[in-house]
Amino acid sequence: MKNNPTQQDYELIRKINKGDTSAFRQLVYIYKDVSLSLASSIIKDSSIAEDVVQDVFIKVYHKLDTFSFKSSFATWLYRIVVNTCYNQLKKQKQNVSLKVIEDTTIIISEEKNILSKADQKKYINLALQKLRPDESLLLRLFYLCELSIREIEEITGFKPSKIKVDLHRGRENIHFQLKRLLGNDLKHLL
Amino acid sequence: MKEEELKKIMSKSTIETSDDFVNTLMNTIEVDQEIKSTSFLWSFKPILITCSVLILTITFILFKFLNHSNILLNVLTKIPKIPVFVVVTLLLLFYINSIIKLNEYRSTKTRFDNKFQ
Repeated sequence: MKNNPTQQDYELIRKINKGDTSAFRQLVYIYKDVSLSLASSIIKDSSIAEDVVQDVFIKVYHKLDTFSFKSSFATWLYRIVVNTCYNQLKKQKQNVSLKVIEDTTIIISEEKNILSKADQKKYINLALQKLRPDESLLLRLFYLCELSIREIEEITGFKPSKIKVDLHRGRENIHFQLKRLLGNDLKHLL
Repeated sequence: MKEEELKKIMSKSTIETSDDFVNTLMNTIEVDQEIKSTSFLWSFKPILITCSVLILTITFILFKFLNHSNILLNVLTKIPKIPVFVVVTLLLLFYINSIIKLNEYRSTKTRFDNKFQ
């Protein structure tokens, strides 16, 4: 999923700035799932992450007239998502959400012989939830959004050295977590 | 794990939003816009500017020009000062009342939002 600056985004933004709310609906449809995925990397509770993404899109709607067409909309949006999520993370304690993750692991572990697409997604997201927020966020930005190190630096504000180190750790840790969750069934994901 | 394998795995990590996500979002935005347009009419700045301009203009006319024998302003000398003063005072009170109402509405809304967050 490559989210380069596209003419389509710019067209939609121009329409929104003229008061076309249906164009905003279209823009939300394009970016809502990736935004939620990024938010879930930081805020491990997906329902809280969804609320945060709602807030982000409301913020984006009101601030869209300040968007400069020099940069990619995706980068701009993801930076807001990441900043809002880290601010939210500071406010909340993670104890409750971690408990929920443990429970889900047990339920899915019993059914791991059947690996439908939905199950694959569940296992992958469970593995990502076990990683540190920075690691899972960077893995998603790099592999899911296919962004460059420079773009990730722009979004997160992390130094390139930290990005590279965390990506390396993230790769190792996700492999470890998937291996732990699926054992030999890991090959079904590929 | 190879880069390509990880890329393939990560491509499956997209989390989908709930079905009513977009509708809830658009409803919230519409409500926000309605509140914004309503509050703009009664927001503090326009009221303050209107009041200031109105009071300054009337005061200027009443106390600067009315004693001069200007032909163009002769008609203004016939306007009684007390009714004008009463009208201005009533307008001022009306605007103050609106500001208080607006602040009351905002604080109630904030309390409501905080309660259900």
